[in-house]
Amino acid sequence: MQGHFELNVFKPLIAYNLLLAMHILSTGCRAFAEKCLAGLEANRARCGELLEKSLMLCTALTPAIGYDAAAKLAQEAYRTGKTVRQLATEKNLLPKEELDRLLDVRGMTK
Amino acid sequence: MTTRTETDSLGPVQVPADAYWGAQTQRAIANFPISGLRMPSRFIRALVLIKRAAAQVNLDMGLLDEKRARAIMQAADEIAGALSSADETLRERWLSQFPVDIFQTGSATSTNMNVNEVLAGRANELLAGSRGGKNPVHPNDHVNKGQSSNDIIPTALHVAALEALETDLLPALRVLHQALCRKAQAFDDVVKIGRTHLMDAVPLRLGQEFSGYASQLEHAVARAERLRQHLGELALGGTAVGTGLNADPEFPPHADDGFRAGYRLRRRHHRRRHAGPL
Repeated sequence: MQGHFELNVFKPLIAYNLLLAMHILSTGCRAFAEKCLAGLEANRARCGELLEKSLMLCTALTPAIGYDAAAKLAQEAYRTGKTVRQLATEKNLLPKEELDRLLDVRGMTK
Repeated sequence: MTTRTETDSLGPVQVPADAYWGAQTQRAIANFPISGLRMPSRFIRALVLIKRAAAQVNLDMGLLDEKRARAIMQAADEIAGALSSADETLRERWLSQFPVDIFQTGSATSTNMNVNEVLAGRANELLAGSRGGKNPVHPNDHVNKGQSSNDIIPTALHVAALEALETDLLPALRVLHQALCRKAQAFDDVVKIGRTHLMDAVPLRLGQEFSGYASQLEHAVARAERLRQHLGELALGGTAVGTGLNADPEFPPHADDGFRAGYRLRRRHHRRRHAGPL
């Protein structure tokens, strides 16, 4: 939208489009808030499941076992379908207490 | 369809007998059968209220006689009232008097003339008993007095946008912001896997994720609030190119004040009639 010919030639369109867009945005925000957000619940079990299965948990082990060992663990977990925690326990990589401390997902969010 | 004859500088035009508009509106209908989309009622209402404020100021300054000024103001009150009415039939009855397509003269002169003609048409009905025409109230000489499309169209655009901002958009953005804040609190204890580019990254709490969404809305509200300042600058009184030609020097400040009072807008002391984009 430029002021060609010393006067913007789209004034009526600007008015129409701006007011329509503001209307749509307003009604859209309200509809989304009232009809979606208000009733939104977290699927806590699924959140936990996806966390436990996630190969990225090995990232938290890198300070203790090093990058390369952690990467290998993730690759093996991917191949076998086991979790990082299961494999690390089986291989006795770390004392249980330290493993639990490192894999405390809530602690990772502080 | 019964018609009546209206005239403009190009000659006579047949207009539907029950229409309030005149020759120039009828020519715009004929010249711009483009999209079928019409100017929004909020914008038309702002224009009508500018015309009302102008009539009051022209009356106060002795530039317009009492009889014509009162008739223009009454017509403006009726139409502005109808356009913001909850009664849909009433609203539609007056909105139908503004049939010009949005693809029209780039400065919206056709819409300005449409409003001038409808106000004159109703004022003449009030004063002389017959709808339309230019006697005793003339669309250009009386309703449009001291104005130009190039100052009142941008003014109406600013005010209509400001009204939409205050009454619709900001409250709606705040509703959404509050809803997100509530969820941010409710989900604060839910740990989930955080993702980047849809790939598992590291854990975060669902509440933290929602607090990010809420923050986005907080910024959106702040941006929208800042627009008030710019939208509050009105071009009213600048006439065609911002110099105010054909408007009495006292007209702009008074018209500006009168119009702002109708919308409860604060007065701005720096009026910029030669304005660029934000």
